[in-house]
Amino acid sequence: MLSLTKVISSTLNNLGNLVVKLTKSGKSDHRNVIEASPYGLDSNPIKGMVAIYSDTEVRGNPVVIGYVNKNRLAQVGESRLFSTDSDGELQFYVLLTNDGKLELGGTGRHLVAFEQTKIGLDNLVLLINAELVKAQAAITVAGGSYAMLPVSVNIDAAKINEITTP
Amino acid sequence: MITLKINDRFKNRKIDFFNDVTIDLKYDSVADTFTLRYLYDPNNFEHKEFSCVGHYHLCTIEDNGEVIITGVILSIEFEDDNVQTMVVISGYSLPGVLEDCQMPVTDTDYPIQTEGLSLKQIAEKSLKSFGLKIVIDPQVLVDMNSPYVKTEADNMQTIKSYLSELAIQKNIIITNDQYGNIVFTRAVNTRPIYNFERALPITNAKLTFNGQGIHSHIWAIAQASIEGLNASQSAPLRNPYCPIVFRPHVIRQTSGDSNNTDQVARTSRAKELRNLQLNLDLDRWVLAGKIVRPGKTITIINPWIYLFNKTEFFIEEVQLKVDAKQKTAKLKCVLPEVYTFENPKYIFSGINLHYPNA
Repeated sequence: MLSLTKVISSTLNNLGNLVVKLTKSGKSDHRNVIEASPYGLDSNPIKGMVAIYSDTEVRGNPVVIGYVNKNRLAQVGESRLFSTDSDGELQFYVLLTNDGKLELGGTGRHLVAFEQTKIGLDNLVLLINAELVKAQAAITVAGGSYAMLPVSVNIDAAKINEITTP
Repeated sequence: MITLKINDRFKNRKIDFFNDVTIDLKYDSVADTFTLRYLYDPNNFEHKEFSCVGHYHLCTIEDNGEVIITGVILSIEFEDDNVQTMVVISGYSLPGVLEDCQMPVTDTDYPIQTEGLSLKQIAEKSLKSFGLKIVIDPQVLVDMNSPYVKTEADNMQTIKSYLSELAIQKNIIITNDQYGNIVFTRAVNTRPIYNFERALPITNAKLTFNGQGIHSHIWAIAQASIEGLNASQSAPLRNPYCPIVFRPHVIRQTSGDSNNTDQVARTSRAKELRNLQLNLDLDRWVLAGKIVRPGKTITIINPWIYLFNKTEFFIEEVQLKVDAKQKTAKLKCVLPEVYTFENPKYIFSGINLHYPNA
């Protein structure tokens, strides 16, 4: 049977399971229950969350299978991942919007793409070197000398290979 | 001489005129029941005092000083007719309340999830509110003190059901004694108290076999454990009372851990063995000098009920009756393996010739 319960606290056991202490039915019905979650998702609820408690075939082996979230903002088609402090105050979020955007904690600034940055910088280097050639020629005409060293830039080391975008 | 005493928690009141006493004693139960009739006079102060409705008066029934049952009166039935009728009262033994009640929602009794507590500790905690006493048979003392990793009661589960669920994991039986104590014990092979033949004290003997409840192979299956162990299953367990045809039975483990599947299958087979039942009506209720009670074994030989060999049975239930004429008893007996959980012996082996080993 499923029950709506209230989270008191949570701890990790020696197997790395998240054990949620909750109040099941009545004020004193406190139980420690292991939380089940989608594979690869590791989150930890704050006190006061409403947890969905589910019995299994064997009595004494219930699991928490989810929470009734109260910080929902995602619009139709969107997905949002967020963290809070222990009082439930939003700390950071990742939002996949329904118009094809990814927000990382806000909308005020933008990230830059490596490839476009590299092209821009390479073009800039070409322009600078072309100007240096002109400057060298002018200096020579004026009787001076200027040993020109072409400017170069390499930002390959700044490339993050593990994160890609379209 | 039968004596009935009713205690209204102020004083013991002895009832002089009563009749038609029926007492049902069961081995695997904490609620032995009783019913009797007594002559009620509304003008008698004592009668008014002990006939109170809803007071759950304490009650003791004795036979020549030997206590048969200590319990509470649950129900009472008054009747007025052209001829004077008797009041009918009924009740059950003191621990019977555990069959009817759940864990009270108090800070003393909750939470009802435990970690690292033994059956003894859980029982003491569960019974505290009811003032019941626990008696532990020395043969189960070690198991009573060994802790469970984790236990959990359902809020709606009766206390008896919760304790039985835990006890069966350790092959412990919960019953009660004549003094109203709850008893944790285990059925072991003991010397039979009486050897019956086709003669008195038996007035009627009946052997019944209900084949529908019997299966040839029993499997217990269990879900994967929350600690990551695989889903498990027991080895198929054979029931010698279905040796020829194939009648498989699968049972799901609902308590304990995944190492218990073999035991779950054994418990299931033991329950099935109840389908072979011996019922004896006796012209008395004293055997070998004592009032016959459940939990003992007897032997019987009587080819007229297909018991060609001297066979041992376990007394599971006893009904004691007394009326104006005599005291009688009815015994409901089962195979001892119902409670010992041992591999059952086919008691009819060798009787027929077409399947000499079955």
